[in-house]
Amino acid sequence: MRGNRSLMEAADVDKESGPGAAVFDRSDRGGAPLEVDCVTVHGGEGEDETAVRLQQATLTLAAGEWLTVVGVNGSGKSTLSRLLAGLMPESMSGVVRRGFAGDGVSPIVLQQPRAQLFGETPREEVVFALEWRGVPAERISDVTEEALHRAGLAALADEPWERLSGGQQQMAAFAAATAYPSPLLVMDEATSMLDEDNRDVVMTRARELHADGTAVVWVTQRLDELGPDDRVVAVGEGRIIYDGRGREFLYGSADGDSGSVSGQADSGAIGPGTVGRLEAGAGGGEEVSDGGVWPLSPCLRAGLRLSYLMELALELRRLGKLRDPLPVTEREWQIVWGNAGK
Amino acid sequence: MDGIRWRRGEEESEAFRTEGLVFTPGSIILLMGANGAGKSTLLEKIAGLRPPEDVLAAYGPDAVWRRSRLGRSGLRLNGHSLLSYSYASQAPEEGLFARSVSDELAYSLRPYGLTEETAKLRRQEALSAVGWNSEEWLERDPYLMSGGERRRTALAAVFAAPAPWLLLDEPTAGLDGAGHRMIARKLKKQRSEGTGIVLVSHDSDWALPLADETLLLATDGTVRLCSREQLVRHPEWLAEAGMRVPEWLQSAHRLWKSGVPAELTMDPAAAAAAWRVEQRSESAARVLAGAVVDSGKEANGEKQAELDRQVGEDQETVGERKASEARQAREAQETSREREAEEEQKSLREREAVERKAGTELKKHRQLGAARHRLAGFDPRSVWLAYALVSFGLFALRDWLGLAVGAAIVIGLLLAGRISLRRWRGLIVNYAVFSVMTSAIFASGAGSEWAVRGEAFTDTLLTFTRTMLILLLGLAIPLVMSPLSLRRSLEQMTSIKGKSPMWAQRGILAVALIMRFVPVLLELWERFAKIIRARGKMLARGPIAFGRKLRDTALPFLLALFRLGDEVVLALESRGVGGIRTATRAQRLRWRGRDYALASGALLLALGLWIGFRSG
Repeated sequence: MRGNRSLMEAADVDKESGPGAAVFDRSDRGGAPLEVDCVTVHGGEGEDETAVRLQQATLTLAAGEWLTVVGVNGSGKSTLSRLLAGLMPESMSGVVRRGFAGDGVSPIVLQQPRAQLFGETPREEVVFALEWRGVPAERISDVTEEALHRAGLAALADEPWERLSGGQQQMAAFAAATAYPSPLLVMDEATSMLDEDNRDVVMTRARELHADGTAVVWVTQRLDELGPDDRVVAVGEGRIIYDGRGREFLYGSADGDSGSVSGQADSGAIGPGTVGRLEAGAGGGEEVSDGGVWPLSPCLRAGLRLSYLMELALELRRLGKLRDPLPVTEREWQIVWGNAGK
Repeated sequence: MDGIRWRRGEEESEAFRTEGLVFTPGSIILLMGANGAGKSTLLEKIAGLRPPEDVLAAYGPDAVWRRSRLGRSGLRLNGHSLLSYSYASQAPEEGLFARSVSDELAYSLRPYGLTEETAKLRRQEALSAVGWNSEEWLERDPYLMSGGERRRTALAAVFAAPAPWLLLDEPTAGLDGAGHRMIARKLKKQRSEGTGIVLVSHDSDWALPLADETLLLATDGTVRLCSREQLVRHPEWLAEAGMRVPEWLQSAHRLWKSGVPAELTMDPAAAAAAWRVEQRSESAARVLAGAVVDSGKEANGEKQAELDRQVGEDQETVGERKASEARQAREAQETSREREAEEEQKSLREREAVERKAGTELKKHRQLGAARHRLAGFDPRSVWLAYALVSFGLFALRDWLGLAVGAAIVIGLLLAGRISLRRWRGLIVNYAVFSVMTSAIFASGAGSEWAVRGEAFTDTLLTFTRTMLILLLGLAIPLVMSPLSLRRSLEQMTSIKGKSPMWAQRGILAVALIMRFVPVLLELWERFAKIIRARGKMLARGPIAFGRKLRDTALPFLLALFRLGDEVVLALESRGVGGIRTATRAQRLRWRGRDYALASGALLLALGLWIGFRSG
């Protein structure tokens, strides 16, 4: 089955630290980064042999870093995020050094609440998670209370799932995954089934954890979840096609600096300028104008849909009505409108 | 075409009406609402896939539900109305079951009884609508396709049906940019050909520009019908319906306020062109650059101090002017800070609202909750023991009289525990049918004389009925106890000196999880049954149709099951289950007085049954 390898390694760690001891075990590798080195993952057995989920992916994640992974369905972003979480698929070549994340499987929150809830109520769920994390029995009830409270579920702790909304269920899964500190948290499209309010609650909580020093891998298809300064890795057709800051991902790099693009020529990485010319015909035509060639959004290369606001910003830039850096967040747009007269 | 209850006219304040909501063919209606407001539910009601409650939908003269002639059973689905729409659920590709694209298309086309020529034409059109122009796609097997291709196949099957209405639930979720453009193109084409489209989509900035009309579904079940231009002018209507106003719509609103005509705000290119450049926008760019740099070096103490000083100066010496750049930078900072505070408050309010809502729900369900906790207060071990004892007693029953008493006891226990076996309805009915059939088959083989046969029949049936009584009680247990407490009880029973062996722990966890996921599986089954009903347009009548439906539902169900299993394994591993570590236990169970009472009561009951009916 999946993950045998990581389990064996987890066993070794346990022998050193003793059963039931610290779960949050950075061991002696402290702040060493998590490294994915030239990993290729093949598709499931029985299917086409050529199906490759991930191709020669190389990625480094530092302790305490926030990493947003974007890509369309089937691009390989889930495979990548599970790799980062320490779930090793069977047909894999390459090396993964888990570094700061330790050898156990990191907490991961998935898209569907129903697949990841094992108790009947939020409280049971958190207790269940803590039990299997080996937290001493006498501490469990305190830690549980705290986790439920943080997730805003204190009042609903004993309600069965049928009476909770999808967002509340997802918050319970989140509370269970994060009840005990871990150096790495993976959110695999955890907000895709939620509306904006619930998403904000989950997002805020994840940002808080990040502020406390937890590395977070945030997998999403929703570009409005990108922060302008977040590190963004875009995955397309199993390859890492972009690794850089959010704003450059959306609008292209302002000064034509292509350093932000992952430098593996063989893995299909293409600089922003090249992308511009490649995609100009396919919906990105606004980028090539009489005013010259603007840096083009790597986002198009990843096959993602440009949102209304992105198109608007790009168009305004083309018309010379707005200059780089283009706005990304709600606040930045406020500034644009705020200064543009009432 | 549709009469939907609870609906609100355009701008009037409190002019709620329940009749006369009509959608015209050849338009796209976007259904918007907060999570849990019931968008998908409403769509399913329109499609007749769930009981209509108050919603009475009709396609032209064909009402989806008709009063049954028998009266009693209430409403009956109108088979003809099902032909009026083609429905795509969320993630429609999960409903695929055929081995080739052409089979999938044929399945969707079959209910319409088209001639071979028209069918061929529809197939071609449907394929080209999803960007496949070559016939070779028809032979492809959906299971060997990528996720995106499977979605295309499913959508092609939806587009293929020559229905006057399209009901689409999140058709673009997870699709790439090209997929979005493709679907938009197809929808516009369908509209121009007179097809009516009801659309549910999270991607409001993609969907709203397409929509002729928007239906805002509020959390209280009321509905507001408006045009997209009205929404640009009144984004607060979304907030009134319990939704967040999306950022893009806020920007579109600002554009409109600054003089861009509302019709143009939907198209980024046109909006950008129509937006007046003002002198200040030059500096706006610079201010933004400043703000961006600032946010880059957040929490810069010095900067903050300087800013505070500036604010102070500004207040003290009113006439003094700073360089305009610095001032604007500060304004930007201030607005952003105000904004932050505002947001904080907003999120606080929202959280309160959520909690309040949860509170009312709590109250609403208190009745149910009471039933739940009645047996939950016992030690699970005593419940198990009681169950075993009563089962033993029931097993001792040898004749129909005894069985009648046993049945009375079982029913009495269920009533006393206020346990409803509704969830297991299907299982119970199946078991009953199975018992009768098996008994009959057995009896027919027993002998040639009718008397012998009759005796064999009742004897076999007796055994089955006895088992059924025990089964009924057993089914009640997972309803009153959570699988985890069950696990705990079993674990504690198998433990020696507080540690249960690894194999026992594993096995028990597996059993507990299976029980936990039974309702999830039932839900999954219902979902696929719905999809197949919407596509196949047949109402199960007679065993053949039933069998066919079963077959068509089973395959996607099993596939979904594997996917679910995969995710469950993943989630379990990420929780640390399966590691070498032994789980600690948060609570130990304790026997209390009432547990003794329960167990001894069960013992008495069992003894009574055994002694009373042993001899027959």
